[in-house]
Amino acid sequence: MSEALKRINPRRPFQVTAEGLKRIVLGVAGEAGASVHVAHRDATPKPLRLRGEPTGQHLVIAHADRGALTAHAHEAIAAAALLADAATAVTVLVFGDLSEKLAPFGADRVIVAAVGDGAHFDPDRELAVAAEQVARLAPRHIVMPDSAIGDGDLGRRLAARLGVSVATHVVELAPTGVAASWRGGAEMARRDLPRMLLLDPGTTDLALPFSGAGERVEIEVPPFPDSRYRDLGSPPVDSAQLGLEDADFIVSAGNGVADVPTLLALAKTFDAAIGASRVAVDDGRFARHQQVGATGKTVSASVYMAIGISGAVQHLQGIRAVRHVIAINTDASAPIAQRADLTIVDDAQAVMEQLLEATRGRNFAPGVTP
Amino acid sequence: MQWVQIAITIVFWVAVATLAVGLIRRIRLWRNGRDAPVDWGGLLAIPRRYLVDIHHVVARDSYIANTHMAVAGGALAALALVAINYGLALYQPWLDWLTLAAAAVMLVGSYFIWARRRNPPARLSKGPWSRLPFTLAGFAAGVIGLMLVTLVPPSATTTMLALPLLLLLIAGSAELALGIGAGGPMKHAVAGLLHLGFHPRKQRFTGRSVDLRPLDLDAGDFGVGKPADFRWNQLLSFDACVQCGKCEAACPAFAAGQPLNPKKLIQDLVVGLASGSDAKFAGSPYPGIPIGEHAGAPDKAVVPFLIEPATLWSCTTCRACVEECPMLIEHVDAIIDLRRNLTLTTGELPGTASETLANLRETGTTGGHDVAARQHWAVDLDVKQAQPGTLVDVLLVVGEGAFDTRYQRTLRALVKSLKAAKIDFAVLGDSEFDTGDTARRLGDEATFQMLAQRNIANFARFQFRRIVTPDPHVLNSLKNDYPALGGHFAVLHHSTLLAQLAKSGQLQLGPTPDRRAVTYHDPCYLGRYNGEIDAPRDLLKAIGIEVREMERSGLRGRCCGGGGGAPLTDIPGRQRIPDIRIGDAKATGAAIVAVGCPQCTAMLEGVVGERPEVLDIAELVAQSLPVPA
Amino acid sequence: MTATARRIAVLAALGRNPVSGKARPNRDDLLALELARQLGGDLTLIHAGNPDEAALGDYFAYGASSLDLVPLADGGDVASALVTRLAGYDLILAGSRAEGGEGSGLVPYLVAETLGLPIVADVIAITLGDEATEVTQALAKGQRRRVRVTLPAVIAVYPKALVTPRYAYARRLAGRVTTYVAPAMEPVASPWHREAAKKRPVKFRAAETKSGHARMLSAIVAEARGGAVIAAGTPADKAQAILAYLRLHKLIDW
Repeated sequence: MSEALKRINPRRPFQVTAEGLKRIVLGVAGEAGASVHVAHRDATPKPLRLRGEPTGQHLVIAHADRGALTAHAHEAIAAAALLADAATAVTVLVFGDLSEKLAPFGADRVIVAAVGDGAHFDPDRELAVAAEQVARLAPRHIVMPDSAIGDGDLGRRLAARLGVSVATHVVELAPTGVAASWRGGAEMARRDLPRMLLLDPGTTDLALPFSGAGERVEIEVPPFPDSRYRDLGSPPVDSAQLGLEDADFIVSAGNGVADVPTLLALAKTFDAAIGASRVAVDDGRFARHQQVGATGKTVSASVYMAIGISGAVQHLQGIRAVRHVIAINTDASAPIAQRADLTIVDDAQAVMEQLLEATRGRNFAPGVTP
Repeated sequence: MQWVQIAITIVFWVAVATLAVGLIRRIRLWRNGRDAPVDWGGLLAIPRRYLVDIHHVVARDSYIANTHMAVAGGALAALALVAINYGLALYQPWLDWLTLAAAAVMLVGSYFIWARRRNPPARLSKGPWSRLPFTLAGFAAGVIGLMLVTLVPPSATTTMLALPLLLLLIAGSAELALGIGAGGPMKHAVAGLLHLGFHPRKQRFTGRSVDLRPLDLDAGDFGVGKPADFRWNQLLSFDACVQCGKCEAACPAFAAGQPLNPKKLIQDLVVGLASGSDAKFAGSPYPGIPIGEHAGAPDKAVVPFLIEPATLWSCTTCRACVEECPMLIEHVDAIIDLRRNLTLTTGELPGTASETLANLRETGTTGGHDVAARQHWAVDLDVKQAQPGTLVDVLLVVGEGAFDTRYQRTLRALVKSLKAAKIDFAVLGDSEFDTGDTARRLGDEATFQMLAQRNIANFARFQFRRIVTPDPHVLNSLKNDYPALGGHFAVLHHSTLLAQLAKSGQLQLGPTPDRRAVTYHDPCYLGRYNGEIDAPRDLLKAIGIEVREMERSGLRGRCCGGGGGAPLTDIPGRQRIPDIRIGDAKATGAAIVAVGCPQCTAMLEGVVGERPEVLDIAELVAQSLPVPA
Repeated sequence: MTATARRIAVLAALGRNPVSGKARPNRDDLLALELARQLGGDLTLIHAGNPDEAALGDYFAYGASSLDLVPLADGGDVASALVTRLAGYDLILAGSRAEGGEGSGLVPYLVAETLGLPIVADVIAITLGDEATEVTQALAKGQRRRVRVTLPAVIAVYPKALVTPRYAYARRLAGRVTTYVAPAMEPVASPWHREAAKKRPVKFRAAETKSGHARMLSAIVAEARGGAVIAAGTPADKAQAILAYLRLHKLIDW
């Protein structure tokens, strides 16, 4: 066997194209397996979805925050666009200032209702605008993000006002119908497509093969007379002081965290509440009310970043309801790794410092706008 | 000295009258309590209970046992002789000699009381108790002196001495006679004797008695909210307390700095029954709660005016205080009675206790688990599931530990041994629900009775000879708590069954391959509650392990902190109870702590840092099974 | 009129334990009940549904003293049935979602719309005034907002409100139920049909135009979801991996 078969090295350098495909680049020298990322090219615009003059519309309603919609709202627009046929336009009604383009998510027309700060609570006024637009546009479907506050609230007000068929907390949708999870996820309930849909986050893939027309109109909104609500403002809240049960993002420290100030800085960066394992509490590094686990607090955050926590059974019981667990631990075989959605095997201190470095100046503490 | 003799007679009868008036006043207070059957026959049993049952406890401390025998024996003898000789005005000199001898014994005893109190342990109460050696000695000296005065020929000296001696006698008699009515230290003598006669748990004089009294919920019995809600003989029992602090020294919660001191609790209840504040209490306070800020009355709510809820929720129901009490007071019953009222009428439980009780109501498990998952640990073990109509020898009730990945190792080890011994056994599978032990100890009698009735009905579907469980809490529930609700079962702890099998040879065990030193931690609910301290040790011996006993073991073993829902209420202290227990284990130099309870396993394994390995007896036994050829 | 003389109604649904399916008081409604109890005043619990459901009695254990029951067949219009008993209340409180059935969170809005009342959702604290009430709303990321709303009003309580409902068995025995006449209502067949939940909802995406390679790739990515372990690379890479994960799941928006 002197002559070996000629093989192509599967780990030779490749590019990741705008479509997310790997392409091997011939003639480029480099380390095996290293990837060369190619930036998304805007050079080739996607085709417009809408062909000709629309005969009807789907309406998406959402609040802008700091000039942009949330990804959750983007999904609602994309869902409306995916539901629409070639003759149905997607109109987006946005409350608040909007500086981003919504065409890539499939919006054909964007109506920006200048109500000032989108976070200001003035539901009577918004409901009047939304109801007026619905009456004017007669949309086939109204799609909204079912977000915890703002859109979910306005959506329900609108559904009650219009008296239309509606599905809330939609977790799955298709042109044929929608599904919602009932009884805490034990059951899935399905129905045909209602007139109005309030979508949970994560229902729709934002990668679209088409684009919307993205026309923008601004409308003036008169103040609502005799509003029954008055926004008295938001007292500043320090998330680090937030009850763990109430927190959406928790940075939690265990035995592997020696440097408490760095951890606190990291928690501040993510505007996260601070938790701790029993060991860290027993050591006196953290207060007792910060203990997470069977003998401490039971938490239900969206993100639980377990730093230097091995994950005793009692601890895991306390984070059963957490959506995303990210573990940073030197030991890949620690029990937390089985629970975690993402496990980083490394020294906690080094990763914390790098995270701080990578996120410098990007914190969303109250009152800070990046 | 005719007038001296007459004076003694007068002092005697005045003292008797004072005592009688005081007793009647005290009885009135006891009668504020709820009705309980009056067992007059119990009064006849007092001498036996005093000499046998109390002595059994007191004899653990031979110094105080002998001292008390001298003082109390001397005093009783002297009083009896004075009653005959002077009460009946016989004035016989030979009786005087006997009286003198008895009083001399008492005086010697008083000296030793004084000697102990010169440098007293922290558990002893001070205050009025500190004067006791002097008043008792005064009484004894008074009697001795007066006897001498009557026996020697009268002279100017004797006349001169007679008056101060009489005053000494009166002072000493006042301590004895006023005690019961005024609540002084000598109250214990009268109340203690009556308590022996009317003890709320007379079954404990004939065997072990740890079952809790079921509440008649439909009749509106929700435990004890105010002192008058206790049964009258419970109130009497609180009055028997001698504030010796043996309970305080044994209490794991007190040692851990949690706000509980069983002695103070009983004294607070005395304050409640007699009306007043705790300001006069002269012993150790509840850790972290200052003395003098609480007060009570028979019809005033105990919590929070007299006792803080955290005090009640610190208790692990380990019964160490009851085991130590020389007056046979039932502290844990009082705590459970008070907890019941809190839980049933306010529902205000600290920590995760409320959540646990909701889990029990809604899922039948403390952790809110899916009962269908209870048998997952045995999925590959070919374990039979009980079927209605098919008789099995042993019904294996696995308990809540089955949901815990750590404890599943114990269960799997146990199954291995049962199979090796060719035991015909089956599990309940998804029809096994929690026995309700945690609910009951947390005072939730409603949830306990609901679960117990459901379980009793469920057990009735199956045919089995006996129940075996590795969980002493399950054992205690089924064996002691269920009979009152109509469930009668033969229940064994796994260590008892395995020890029997090893002894009979049905289970062949080799020497353990693990040569490390072993100590054994007695689960409270197995040892103190059910008296099983030998089987685990026999079993360990059978596999060649010599147990290195900890400082507190057997019936006097120290709690792991896991009982009575204490890990759920989780009252903060200076340190954690399991840390103390692991300290005990470390002191023996053992590398392994053998346990026999899922709670103990979890609590002791929860101790951080360097510590011995925690292994269930079932795991040690399974390691010693001979490898099949 | 003083705050203690306020008439307060709490809308109570029947809930189910998500694990065992056993009927129980709706968790979110218990928070509403507890907030209402802390306000004081004249408190009435109102339920529309099956009158024979024993678990309703547990609402008494949680501190309600009386329950107005509007009998309603399964699938009936809960909001319309409730409205028949809701005249004359100053404050109507409800949980944010029912856990037993659809759990749309719509009922308080429908009640408010029908009665022409203002509604504030995600409320964690209430201070009653004479003609208006000041409430505190919970916003995303633990932020708070105070809102003044005129009375009468409907309040939907935030599901993580910091109140602890307490279960006391003795109260369960003391509660009393007043059953009203069932409103004349045509039962409407629910448009929903239920099935046991399968693993994960399917994402709504554009019709497949990808290459076989891309399909394979996305399948692998989908399967590898959960439990990814990153051991190789520098700490800086790993920090980026965490941020990438957070961005991918929309947990940070930067």
